[in-house]
Amino acid sequence: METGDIPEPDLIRLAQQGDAAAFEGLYRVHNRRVYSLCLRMVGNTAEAEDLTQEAFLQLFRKISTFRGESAFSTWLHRLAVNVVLMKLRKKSGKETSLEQVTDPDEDSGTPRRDFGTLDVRLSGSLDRVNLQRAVEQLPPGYRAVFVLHDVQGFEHNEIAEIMGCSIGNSKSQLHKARMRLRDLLHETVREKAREERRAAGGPSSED
Amino acid sequence: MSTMDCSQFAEQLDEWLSGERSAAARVHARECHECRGLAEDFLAIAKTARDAWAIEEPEPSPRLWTSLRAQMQEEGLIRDSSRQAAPARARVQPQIQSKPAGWFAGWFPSIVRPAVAGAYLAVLIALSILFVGPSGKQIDDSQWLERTQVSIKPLTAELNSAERSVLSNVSTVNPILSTSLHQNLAIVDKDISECEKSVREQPENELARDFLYQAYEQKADLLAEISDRGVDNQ
Repeated sequence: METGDIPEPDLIRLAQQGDAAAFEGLYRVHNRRVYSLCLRMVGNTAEAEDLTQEAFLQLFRKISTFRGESAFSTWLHRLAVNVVLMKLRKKSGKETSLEQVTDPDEDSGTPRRDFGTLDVRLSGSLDRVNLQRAVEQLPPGYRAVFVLHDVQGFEHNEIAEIMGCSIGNSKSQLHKARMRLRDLLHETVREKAREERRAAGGPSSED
Repeated sequence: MSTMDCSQFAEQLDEWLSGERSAAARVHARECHECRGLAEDFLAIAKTARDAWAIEEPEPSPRLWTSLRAQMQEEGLIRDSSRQAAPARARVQPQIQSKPAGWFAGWFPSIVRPAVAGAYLAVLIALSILFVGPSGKQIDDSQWLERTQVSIKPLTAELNSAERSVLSNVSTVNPILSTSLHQNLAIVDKDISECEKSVREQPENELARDFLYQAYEQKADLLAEISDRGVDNQ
């Protein structure tokens, strides 16, 4: 029997007993999603692999404490998000709370709604490269919520559990993440238009 | 005429994006250029993210599990599989999908095939040459290349012998494992080939040589692992 045929609760139980094949089975089931989360969060394959390894290592160190209060996948994602956020905090060279990994400017006030400058629609002018660049410019907390919801398809109640926040906070952070992404992507579209005009010999400014 | 204002529309935006659109929200979106633009942009962002990333999730390098398992062995998280009870062992026999499992740490006693044990020893010898060799001495590129080739020659002979032996045994015992082994061997052989190329180009580069020896370790590890599983399945 292959590990792929074994129900996850049995794999977890065997892994809790130190069974190497069960560890590998759990890794095989979840490694793509965790790696994908890390990759979208950091945008670098080598770093994403390091973080994936660290997340699984933490998972396997703690697996004996897993009692099934939450879904295994949710628990694993919570560990992975914490590993990534910790790494990003260290990178930024300062200790910050989860709230501070969101954008302090936007958190302190009402989200900007500068619709007047956003006449062009993003639909049709977006590609994955621009989106990845924009995602990497998001504050880490926004980035995590955006990737978990819009890429990995988690619901807000699951994200709240993963991120250790309220459902309302998850919704609010996702909205702000999208708003920020929208601004960044519109700027990219405008910049592209300016470059095209320059290439065509026209005025370089749209203003 | 819309009965909903922009802030009320914003509160229902999540539902809107998931396709649950109330009549009032529809009227507001039709009449409010800004909110309509916001909703369309959010939909475009979500669609691009989903199309680009969610449908095809990338797979991490096969080396990741190897490295993770080695770390777990070092920390004593993995129980020695040879001591597992027979029923549990029979239940959990993962098919190797894309990687060799386990590095050197802790598996010398588990090698039961003489050829693989020989390859393992050869790797150790080669590593010894690497680490105790005259890395501090000033020697030229050709000497480095010669030294590396000399250390590799017995190693590759051992590995080739082990490969033939393991392939022969596994193909008769477990065709699925055999297919998996061929796939994994192709990966590690490609890795070895790339590392050899790097060493030929930069024979004095210690890191390049180190990678080459690691690639050989990986192959020895793969053969040992498959050999072990072949024995279990007999």
